[in-house]
Amino acid sequence: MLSTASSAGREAYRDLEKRARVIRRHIVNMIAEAGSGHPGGSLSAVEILTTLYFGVMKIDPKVPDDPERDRFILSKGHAAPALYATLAERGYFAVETLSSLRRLGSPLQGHPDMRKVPGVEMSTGSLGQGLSVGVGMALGARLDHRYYRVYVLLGDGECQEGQIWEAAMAAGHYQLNNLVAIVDRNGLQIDGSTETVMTLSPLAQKWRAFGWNVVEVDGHSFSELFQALDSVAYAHKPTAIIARTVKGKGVTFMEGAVDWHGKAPDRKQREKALEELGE
Amino acid sequence: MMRRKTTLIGIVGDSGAGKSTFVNNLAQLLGKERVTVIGLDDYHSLDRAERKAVGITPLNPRANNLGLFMEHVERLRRGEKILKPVYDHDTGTFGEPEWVKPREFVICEGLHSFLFEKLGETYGYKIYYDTHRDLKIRWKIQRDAAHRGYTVEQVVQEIRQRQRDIRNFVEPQMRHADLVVSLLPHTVNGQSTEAIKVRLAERTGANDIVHRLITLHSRGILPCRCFKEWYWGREMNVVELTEEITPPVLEAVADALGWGEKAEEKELTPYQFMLLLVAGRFGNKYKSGYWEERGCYAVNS
Repeated sequence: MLSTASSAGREAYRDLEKRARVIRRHIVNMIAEAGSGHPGGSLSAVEILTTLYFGVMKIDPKVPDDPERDRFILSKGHAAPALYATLAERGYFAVETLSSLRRLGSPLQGHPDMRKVPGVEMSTGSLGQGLSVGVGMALGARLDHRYYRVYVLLGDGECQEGQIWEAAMAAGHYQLNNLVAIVDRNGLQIDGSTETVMTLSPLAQKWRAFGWNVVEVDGHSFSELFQALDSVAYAHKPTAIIARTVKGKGVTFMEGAVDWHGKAPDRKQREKALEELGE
Repeated sequence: MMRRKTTLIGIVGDSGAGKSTFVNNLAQLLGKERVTVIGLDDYHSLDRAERKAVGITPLNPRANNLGLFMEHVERLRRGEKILKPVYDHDTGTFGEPEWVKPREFVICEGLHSFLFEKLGETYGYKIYYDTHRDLKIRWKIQRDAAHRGYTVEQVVQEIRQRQRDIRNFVEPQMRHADLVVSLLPHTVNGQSTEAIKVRLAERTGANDIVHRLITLHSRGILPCRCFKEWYWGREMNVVELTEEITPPVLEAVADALGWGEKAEEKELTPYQFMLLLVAGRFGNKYKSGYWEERGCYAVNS
């Protein structure tokens, strides 16, 4: 197994931890300024996005259409603020653009648009479709004899969509070892606990039954995310990473609170959130 | 017997990327009599026929006896001699092992020199040597298409096929490197030229070669471009050297870094200058005429 950047001990993830903090601050500010948006599922995905964009993916923000680049699809498109903040910090566009979230005429709409935002590989927001696109891209790589990987971030609530499982079945059938699905398993969706709305457990067994390698990790641990993503190098099947996360992570009054799925913080709440996140 | 201090230098890079030339040049600059070079290719666990039967390339860690390699690196660090296996690239099989003694510097070069964290801790300094795929293609075409009768398409396809294993098994080691040396084609107005530019990267907060170069740049001594970039989850300071280093610039740099006083009479390419910087890090004293004497001009000869 490849080693995982802990040679410098706790220092190993210093840069990523700092970047995750910056991205969380952006998310809070963007949604507060827009007056609407989805903070809960954006904050839960920050370490996943940070690990991918700053640690693992082969990408060059200056050449966003390089045919050899890795692809990322935010299938849970409502977490767009997390993706925008990550792309801006990674250098795809100016950080100043972030404050235009959800404004008329802004490229940064409530759900990501591949025609308007550099670095966005697929327009998403209508849940359940991203993995099908990812399967297509992964098969395309095979046809083109290219060696990029495709990463798809799914919401756990999103896994209630039937189309996810059609795509999962196809990926298993074609043994797409260049495809990685990451499930942001925060346990909550708009109407409450995922298990109350439509039972997902046992989620790992479901993916396994469709022919995937399944790895369960703490979705806020860089060390665990890196190890899981390193294991893809040895995979003969598609990899599903079930990332246990906390909805609203980093802002205590949003953590695990279902009513923060899709509302904006007011002025006082924004100040409190930023104070908690720190510089 | 008195034990001399041994400095272990780990170097990782793809083969066909000019790594052997880089190692050779570095050894020349440090003084060949002071350097032992260990090539990780000798530690293949499967010979060519066996790899073919299993269906893996040498880039896969499974094709290599990394356990023995770890053991040997630790012995070399303690100043002990090792009985090193020998792999014959011409026949793709193993020869008789040979005894190797550590000298003042031991350079361990290969595809997996610091794949494991424990192994990485053994080295005094770790360099990831990275060559842009367009340069690999250019060099391989020059060599294989010219002398071995391959078509350009065959060469390009072979290099692309390697890329998957490179990204899976070789590149992740970049996260352990103290210094990342990247060679890139120098493009002017979107057209790539024969010239090569060099990027040197080390983690932000490190106080080593790149940090010193940035200081020299800010003092107006060194013409280069400085920026930050992310490599495998670490934010790096990067210095990009594009221009030839003129004798007065070299003199000022050599002066500032305490290498010596005399100036070179010729201009140095960014590649040659990079070699001086790396060798200089190990206390190598810069001398005038070094390049002419030692003949290390070619990047990929």
